[in-house]
Amino acid sequence: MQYPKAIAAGFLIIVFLLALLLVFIASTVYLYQKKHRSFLLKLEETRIKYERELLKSQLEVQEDTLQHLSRELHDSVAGQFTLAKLYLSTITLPSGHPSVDKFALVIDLLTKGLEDLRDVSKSLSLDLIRSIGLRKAIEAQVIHLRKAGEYYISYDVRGACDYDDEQKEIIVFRIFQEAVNNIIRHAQATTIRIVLDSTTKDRLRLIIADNGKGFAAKQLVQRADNSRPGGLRNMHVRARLIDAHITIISLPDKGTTVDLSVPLATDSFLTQSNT
Amino acid sequence: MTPTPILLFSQWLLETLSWLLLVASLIFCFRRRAASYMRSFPWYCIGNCLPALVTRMWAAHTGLVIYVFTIFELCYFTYFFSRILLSKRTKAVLWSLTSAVLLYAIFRLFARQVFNINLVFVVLESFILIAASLYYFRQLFITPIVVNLFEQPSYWMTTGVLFYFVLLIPTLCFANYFYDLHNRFMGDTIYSVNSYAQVVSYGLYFKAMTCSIPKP
Repeated sequence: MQYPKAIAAGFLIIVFLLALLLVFIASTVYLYQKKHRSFLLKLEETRIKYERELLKSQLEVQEDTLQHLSRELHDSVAGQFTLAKLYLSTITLPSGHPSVDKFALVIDLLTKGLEDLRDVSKSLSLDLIRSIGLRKAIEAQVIHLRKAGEYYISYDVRGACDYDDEQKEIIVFRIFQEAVNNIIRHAQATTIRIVLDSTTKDRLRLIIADNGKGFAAKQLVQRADNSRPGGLRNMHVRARLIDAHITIISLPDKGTTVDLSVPLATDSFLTQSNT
Repeated sequence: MTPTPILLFSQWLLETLSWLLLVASLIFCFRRRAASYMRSFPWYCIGNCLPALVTRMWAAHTGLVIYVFTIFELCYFTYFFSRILLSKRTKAVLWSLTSAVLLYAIFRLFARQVFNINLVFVVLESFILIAASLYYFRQLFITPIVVNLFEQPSYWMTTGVLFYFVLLIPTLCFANYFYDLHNRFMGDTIYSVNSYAQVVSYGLYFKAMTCSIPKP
């Protein structure tokens, strides 16, 4: 074999060996990237699980605090109001006394205060929603709001809205309470529209809309969790826990709409971690 | 009998690239923050180039030179794998096997006065280094640390070692088979594949040396 042929043969052998090598390197790199991806996925799953456990613990602490507050209001504060009313009732002013009207007014105020206190205590406690369910618990809150006389409130229930998951109902109810509290505290609204919709098979939808002064929702919602206002943060945190999707649409002077969409599939993180 | 042109060309190519590899190793292996296990690679390159020089001066001792170089090669790569493998037990096993093979080689050299490398020795060396390479790949896949393979010198070095030594055994076996049948042409052709495989592995060693160094 002459040298040119030897060089050509050598070149062919090298090309063949390089092809073999390329196949080997491509296989190892591909398998390694696959392992890398699955490792990242596992890491993400662990991070999500940890985050959810943390959220769940935070909410449990909050619920315990609210329960405790509810009991204290009912047992201690309401009890003292009742005692005060009782003592006042035992006092009889002679007719024609200049303070008779004021005295009657004081007793009325105490009675009204006692009723309001009991309502607040009920709303903080979970017994209400546990005994009558989400639909009726929201109805009770609507009735209480209407009594105040400051808002025109419409409550529209579409579908059966019989939600068989107590944990999710509690969280939806808390989100509802938070949204309503925000309207009362900040919105300066006159109309509140509430829609509870379960006509879609796999979703429960809760819409709370007002005609108040609104706010720059986009900017506030885009902030990281820690810098968002507490109420907004709580709503998002609770929604995340039950795999719900919450949208808050608001513009200055254009009112606010809170749209909560909750999946009805029972495989939420709450039920997983409780089994 | 002079070797065939294909074998001569392959050996010339291998020798030329050995010197280029030595120069490249002196440039790249001592960069600041280069992987510490690469700093010993220039020594391997020097050891790689010496046999060609020595055999030119003392052609009669070619067998002995190759024998000593093979022992040096085994020791160097065992040291290299002991730097990149994490398991202490595996390193201990690796060094024990290498020591056993070394003892065997020294026994042959001094006690039996055999100065030519034999197939048994080459096969033992190949198996040890192939096993070490495979263990490295296993380690790569099971440890949770994720690295960029394209910039990992140990990956390229190990691939080069595995590639060369996996091809070495069949090429030597088949070459010897044809030499025993007095078919010089086929024997040389197959033996030249060994040289070309080493050329390709030099390419991988070069890639290992030139991997970019991560910023602190």
